[in-house]
Amino acid sequence: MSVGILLVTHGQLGEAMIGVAEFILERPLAGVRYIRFDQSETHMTGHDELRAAIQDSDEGDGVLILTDLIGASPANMVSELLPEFQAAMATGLNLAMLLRVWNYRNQSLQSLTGKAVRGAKRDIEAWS
Amino acid sequence: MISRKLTIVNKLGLHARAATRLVSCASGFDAETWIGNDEKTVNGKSIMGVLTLAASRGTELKIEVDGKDEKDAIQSIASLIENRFGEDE
Repeated sequence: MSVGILLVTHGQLGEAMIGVAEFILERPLAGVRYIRFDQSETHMTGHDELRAAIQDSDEGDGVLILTDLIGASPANMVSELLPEFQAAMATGLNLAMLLRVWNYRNQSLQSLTGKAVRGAKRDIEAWS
Repeated sequence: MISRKLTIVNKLGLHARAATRLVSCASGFDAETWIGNDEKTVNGKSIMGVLTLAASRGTELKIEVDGKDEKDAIQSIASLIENRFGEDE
């Protein structure tokens, strides 16, 4: 079992996060894709582009979509498309979430989604 | 189960890539590995777990290994830490 992982983020955030994670892990993040959500004058990411990215990410066991900010356009558009796919979304993408998701990518979509959210929250701490 | 106390000696401490190497090392053995500081103990095969130790240079960690290949595992982990995770300083 291998759940597809798709990062849908503002600008270059997803691509940059994958790059940093690959630097840390010292290996390519196989099966992790990203789409740059763009709403500039020259390019507007639309439902069809996002739909195609989700389809491309699905290797048969579903897709976990990681978005950066709850309530923002990338997350909102993904939430509209979720019913069309075997897919789930986790908002609040951070590096801890990405590393954990990659580590447990062979788990089921439901289990992996829970790991993503719990892990990302757990690793936020206040230091002084 | 065997345990050993080891001190982080490389300049950057148990940073992200060092944690990756430690986890890769531990994961190469069947034995379970647990790593702890004064506050908590984490699974030595979990990158995020190891990172939460936030172990800088000089930090003493307790390594506990349990399994049929525990001796080889703890020796490999000790070598990795003592050799500064392959870093120059």
